[in-house]
Amino acid sequence: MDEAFGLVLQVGFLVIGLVAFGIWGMTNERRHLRDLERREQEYAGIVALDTRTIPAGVRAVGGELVTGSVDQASDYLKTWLLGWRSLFGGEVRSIGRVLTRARREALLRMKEDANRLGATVVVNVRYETSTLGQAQGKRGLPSSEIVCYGTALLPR
Amino acid sequence: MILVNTETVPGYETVELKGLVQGNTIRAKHLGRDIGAGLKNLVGGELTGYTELLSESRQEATNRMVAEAQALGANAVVNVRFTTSSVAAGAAELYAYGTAVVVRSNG
Repeated sequence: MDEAFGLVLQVGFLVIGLVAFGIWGMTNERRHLRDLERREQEYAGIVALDTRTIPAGVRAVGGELVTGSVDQASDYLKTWLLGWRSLFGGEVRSIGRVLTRARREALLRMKEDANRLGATVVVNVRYETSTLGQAQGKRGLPSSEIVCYGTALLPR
Repeated sequence: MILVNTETVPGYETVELKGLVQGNTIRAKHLGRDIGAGLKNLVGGELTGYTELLSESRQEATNRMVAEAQALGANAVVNVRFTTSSVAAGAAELYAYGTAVVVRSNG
């Protein structure tokens, strides 16, 4: 009887945790997406290219390295779903969305950096993604750090 | 010191190549930040403490690279690259490298 009660309690906590943190995570994600859209509009005038050469028609008298980085964590629900997904294999869309969001954020931060220098073109943009060890326990998703960097062309 | 990740500095010409320069730093995360990060892993979102820590460390690696370039008598580093790797649980290596050159303004 006691064992059954313990099991029910455990499952109960898991479900409550998944629902609560899932909703919390989803709210965070929505807010971040709205924020991203607003700032992307704001910095739409700054062009980021991953080509190495200066585009024709752009006059530059120098360049400077600009960077933007973000360290992103997934949430409890997504990590739990990833655990299940890894039993069967296949695409993990929820985690993919987290990384895409982090890349947009890193690019924006780089553009903000370029904006401070008065640049409107950033060339040779590179992304780098790395994991930073297991953030919590062995089963937790390691957090990912994304850094975005490029050369801002300084206008006359 | 001019830093760019293109092969040449726009508006400048390269007059002398000084060779590869590099800088690295290995940082361990600290406990307080780790607890905060543990909570963030439940609700999702950015780990601001880590972002700061890594930006600082990357800046440190860059500074070491710049110091090496200065020792060679260069005034710019071109083709700068960054890499990050986790060397052990809870520690990350930030590495910056590039080519030290001497440049002269065209205009």
